Amino acid sequence: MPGLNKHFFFSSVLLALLSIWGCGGGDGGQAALDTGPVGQDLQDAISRLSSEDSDADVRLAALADFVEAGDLRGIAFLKSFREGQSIYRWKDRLVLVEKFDSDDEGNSSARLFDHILRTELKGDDGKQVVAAKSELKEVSASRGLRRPVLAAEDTLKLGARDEKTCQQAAQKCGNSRRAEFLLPLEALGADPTRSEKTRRVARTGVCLIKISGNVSGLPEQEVLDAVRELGELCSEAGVTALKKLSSKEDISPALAAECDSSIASIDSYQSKVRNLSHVFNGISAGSVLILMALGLSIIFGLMGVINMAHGELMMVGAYMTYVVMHLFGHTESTPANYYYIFAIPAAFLAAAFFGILIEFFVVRHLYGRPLDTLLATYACGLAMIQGARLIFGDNIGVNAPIQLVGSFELFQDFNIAWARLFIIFFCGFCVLLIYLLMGKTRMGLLIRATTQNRATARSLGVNSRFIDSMTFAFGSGLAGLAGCALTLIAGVTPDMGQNYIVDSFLVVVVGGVGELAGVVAAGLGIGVLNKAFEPFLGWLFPESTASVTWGKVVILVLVIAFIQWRPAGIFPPKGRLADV
Amino acid sequence: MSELKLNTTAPRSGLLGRLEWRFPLFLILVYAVVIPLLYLNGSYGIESVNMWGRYMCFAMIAVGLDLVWGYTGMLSLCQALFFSFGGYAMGMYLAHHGGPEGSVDASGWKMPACLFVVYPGKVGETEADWLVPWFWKPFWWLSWTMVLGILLPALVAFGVGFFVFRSRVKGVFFAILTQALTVMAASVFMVNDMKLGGTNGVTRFDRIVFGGREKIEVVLKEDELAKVSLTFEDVKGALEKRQKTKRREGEIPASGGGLVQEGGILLSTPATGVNFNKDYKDLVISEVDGKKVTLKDVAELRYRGYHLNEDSVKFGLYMVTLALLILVYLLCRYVVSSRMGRVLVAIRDNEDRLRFSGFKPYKFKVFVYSLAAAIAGLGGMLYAPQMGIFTPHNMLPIESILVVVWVAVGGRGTLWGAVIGALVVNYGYSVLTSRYPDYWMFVLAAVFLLIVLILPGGIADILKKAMGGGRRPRLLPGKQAPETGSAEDETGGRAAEVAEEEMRKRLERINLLSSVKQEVDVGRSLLDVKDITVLFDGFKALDVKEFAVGHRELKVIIGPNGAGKTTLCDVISGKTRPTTGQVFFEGKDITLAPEADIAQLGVGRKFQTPTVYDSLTVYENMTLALPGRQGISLGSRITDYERDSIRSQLERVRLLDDEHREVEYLSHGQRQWLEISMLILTGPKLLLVDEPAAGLTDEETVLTAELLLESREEHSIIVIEHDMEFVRLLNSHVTVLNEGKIMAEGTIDEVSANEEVKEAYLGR
Repeated sequence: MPGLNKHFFFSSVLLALLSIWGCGGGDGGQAALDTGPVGQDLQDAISRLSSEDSDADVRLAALADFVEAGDLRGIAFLKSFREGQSIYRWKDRLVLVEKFDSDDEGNSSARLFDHILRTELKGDDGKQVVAAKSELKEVSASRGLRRPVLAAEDTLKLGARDEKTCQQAAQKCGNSRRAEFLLPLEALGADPTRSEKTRRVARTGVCLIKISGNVSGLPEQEVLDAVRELGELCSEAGVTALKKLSSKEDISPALAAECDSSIASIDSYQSKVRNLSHVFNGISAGSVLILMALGLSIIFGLMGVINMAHGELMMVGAYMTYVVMHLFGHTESTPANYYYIFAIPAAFLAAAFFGILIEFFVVRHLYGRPLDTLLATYACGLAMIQGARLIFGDNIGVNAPIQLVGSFELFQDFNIAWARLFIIFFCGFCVLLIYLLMGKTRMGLLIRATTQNRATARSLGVNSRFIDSMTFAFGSGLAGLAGCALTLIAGVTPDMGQNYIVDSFLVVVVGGVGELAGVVAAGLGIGVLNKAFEPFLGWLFPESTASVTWGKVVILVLVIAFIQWRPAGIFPPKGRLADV
Repeated sequence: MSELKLNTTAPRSGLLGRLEWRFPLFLILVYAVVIPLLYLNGSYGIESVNMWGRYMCFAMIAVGLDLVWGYTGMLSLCQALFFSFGGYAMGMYLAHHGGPEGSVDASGWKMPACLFVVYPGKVGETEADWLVPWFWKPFWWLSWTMVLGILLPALVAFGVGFFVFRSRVKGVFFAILTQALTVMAASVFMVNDMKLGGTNGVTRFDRIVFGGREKIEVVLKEDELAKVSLTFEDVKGALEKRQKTKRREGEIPASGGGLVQEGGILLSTPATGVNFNKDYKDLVISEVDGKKVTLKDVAELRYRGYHLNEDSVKFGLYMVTLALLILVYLLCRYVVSSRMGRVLVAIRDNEDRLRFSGFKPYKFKVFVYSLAAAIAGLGGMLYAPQMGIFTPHNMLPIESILVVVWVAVGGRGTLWGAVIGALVVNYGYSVLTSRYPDYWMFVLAAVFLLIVLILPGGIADILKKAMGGGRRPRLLPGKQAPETGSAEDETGGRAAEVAEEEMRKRLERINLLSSVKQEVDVGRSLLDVKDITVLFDGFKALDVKEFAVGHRELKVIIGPNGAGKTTLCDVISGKTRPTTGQVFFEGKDITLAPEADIAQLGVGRKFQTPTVYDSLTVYENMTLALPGRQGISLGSRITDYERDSIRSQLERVRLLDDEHREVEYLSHGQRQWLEISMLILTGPKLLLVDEPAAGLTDEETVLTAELLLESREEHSIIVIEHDMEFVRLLNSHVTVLNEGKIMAEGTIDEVSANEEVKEAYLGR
């Protein structure tokens, strides 16, 4: 079959693309810790901080010096110091203990590590030092010291070269509204070596602190400027702070007006971003729908039957992905990301295999009885759900390849999840593939011919049984691909397909049977509308927490209204075909 | 798109001999006599009786679905939704009259516990602000509940059916749309914001109370009363005093709370919200030696009503359910054995034919769909009190699929099969889930598959055969019976001689008929087609400037394949809408009229392939064509005149002997004649006949020509034909269509001499 060869050719291209992209993304493990010598000022600060003789003021001063030293390696020490049960005094020096081991006689002892570098502490014999519990005396921050230590940690993190750590710290510092973070945040916000986002977060933090009223003696003009700047920065965090400020009674009218305009500007920006991400999420959800609906539509177009087990074939694809993941031993801690490249064809083949079984044992015998076929395939679906439940249990998770975990910020606050982006491209690729397969190959020609006139095609020597089998397998395989893609963004459950079969059928109804373009348009339309209704319905029913449900209701009503207008879909078949 | 051919008429040999009565009577014997006797005897537990009661509620939905699916051929996957509407209606009523007593909302309306527990309170609201929503309130009264429990599902079905059937959604599209409906409804009912109890549903049922007013029974314990040496009058006095104070304090309205004595004491209370425990149980009746005697010490207190936890009430509900199931069965049996029943089967067999016979099938579909929904609602109303809880899980898609399974297993299109299926499958469920819970789903799927694949007739089919009821050969679905024309049955030379003689006579008669000059009314034509064009995707299928047919005129249209002959017929009969142009019938513009209206005006249409109702008998087919009877009606007997006209028409086409055979057993030619006969019976003014001679033997062709020529006296006819011999027999005015345009007109000889026509037919 030349058509099939072509298909496998495209599969291999897909695999190649995936592998190239797989090498590019992500940065993998963490950078190794710097093991250079620890500065004297830091050593001094630590000794003053931990000394039993120091009083509270001395300790605070020591903490300030600690931060002044600016050594990021100190962060881990501060954390251990604050949390307790890991920093101990041993023979006039501080050590780090990870855990105590008990021997048979009940004596506890521990291996020692350097308290700052976290490296093994070597004795004269070159082995790691082991000390008995009795030799160790715990050193930890007193209750009153814990907050300042935490603040010191955050301040230090502001200096981290890793942008993500730095951004998180800046956000945390800003949200705490504490005056002591004002200066470090200002410095960070003005640092030209930092990324644009880091500076923005830092500046937001500065403004938040300024308008919080925690900074004593701040001139009103500066507060006003901060309010204005918050409006320009458009950060969601600004809204609550501004509302709090404007609800105060003793603020000047100018400030109140500035607050209102800033809130409005933030709101308008944020709602724009929200709408955009609804559209984006809708497109990615619609992409899965399109994959499902295409399979359904091709089978329906060719054989006039609705395969109600289609959702379960998607489930098979998802579980196959899970199985492949296990075979490759991929977990979050020991990634074997390339498993996904194998999971895609495996999911396709597994679903196609089940599809062939259903076609061979059930659908074939019910030719010309579409309703009975619908029921029989539903029965197959029920059995498959129960089978999956018995084998795999009720809920499992598939760990996506780490390249597909997380998201990137396209522009301020508009985050694009890698997984969703991948799904969109994956779907686009599959649609292209189907287009080429149906339109440019001999196999596609045979399928189209049989779809249009089975009797004629048979009389011209087309083996329509074989075409049926192959098409059913192909449509089923598409469902498997949808399942494989869905594992990236949703949980895997035995009845996951049930939620999709109705939606994807609505796509077929709206798009028109056997119409590639119609299905793509309807899938995107329904996917996006579903998400787009969420904010709209949230506005309509402000108390309701169930806008997803209402979205479904509206979609169904729209579909019923739509078929009043166009009973045969967006692109209806015309002429004599319309009667079939 | 008939899924399964059924015998709609069982052999008629006395009431008990008929299967549709024999099995129900057997079931009634078991359920109305055996089980009650065993229960009263003590050898059958109330739990089992209650279980059968619930399964009979399921049987009701199944009977309704059988009307919709088995008879009318519409697979509805949301019957459990209609069931749930009834169930929720009754559930809300029962939750109103359940525990805990005395909890009221801010307006004083009784707050049902299931609503209170998951009340979607807004931020800043306290429990005291919560209100029972308006849509709960009608369900305080049993009368309203019963009306709404049946009306609501029927109305929803009506609404959905109206829009869906009117736009001619059918088959799998209808099935999936109904499934989408139930998916959507289930998710809506599960939302707490709907104030319907969320996923927990409606619970805490206690009693059935007739009338809106709750009454508390105070039944004195005589011995306790004697111990503290008090009398009946003491208790009554104390209670009256309490009532008076409460009335004065405005806690109960002046009209409510009167005391009525009835053996013990009856305490009538206002409609809502009296806290029984707080207000009455601790009522002090007397103090003896500093020891207080309270009401609960000397009397039993309880709400009056039929308490659902009592065995007698459970048994009563079982009997009520049984009685209503029998009623429902009788109603459905009446519907299917009436003219309506035949229309429903006709919809399943051939909706188009019905439409071109002047029916509006969507009206019948909407009616039967609403009826089935109402029946399902009734089942739900009876189910809720017997189950003790009603949750949105009852409307999950799988529940509706299960209804389909019951009907399929029992046997479609029999009504009693649906009842048996519901009872058997559910009993199997209760046995299997208690022993092998993991494998029930597999068993269900396997049984369902086997039924669909191997035994589409279900249990009913097995029973029919076992009881000797199925005398006719069992038909595989979708397969045609071997053609057995009566003409072919005769063998031997004598028969052939007779046939030859008859043929000769007929040809003579045809010559005679066709030589009679047609008296065409030249003044006004019956049909006028003006400037019609039909575009299919830019391809011009039809472009007719002018085409007219006079009164009592026979016109023949010929032309090569794709010339637009059938499209022209489609345009006239309303099947295809022209891109431009107009069609006038008796001066009336019918271009955009629906098919049924055009048919009612008097345009009969015969299709290329015979379209008749396969599972009805010849006679029943004819009755559906009777004019003036295309509306919805259950009864209306056939008059003697109508019967005679049917029989004489059947005689004309030699079908009288096969009057009571199902049409699927007829030969191709007989089916053609039947369709033409049906059209003639409707008394049309214009007959559109599309290739009547296709696939006929010579003899049959001659008979068809005779039939058409004879009926020419009564109405105008347009014949579309390929067969030139046939056209010659008709010897009428011929119009040649080619590539959508009229190429030539005239007599057959004129036309066949035309060079252009020759070229178009023979090619270059």
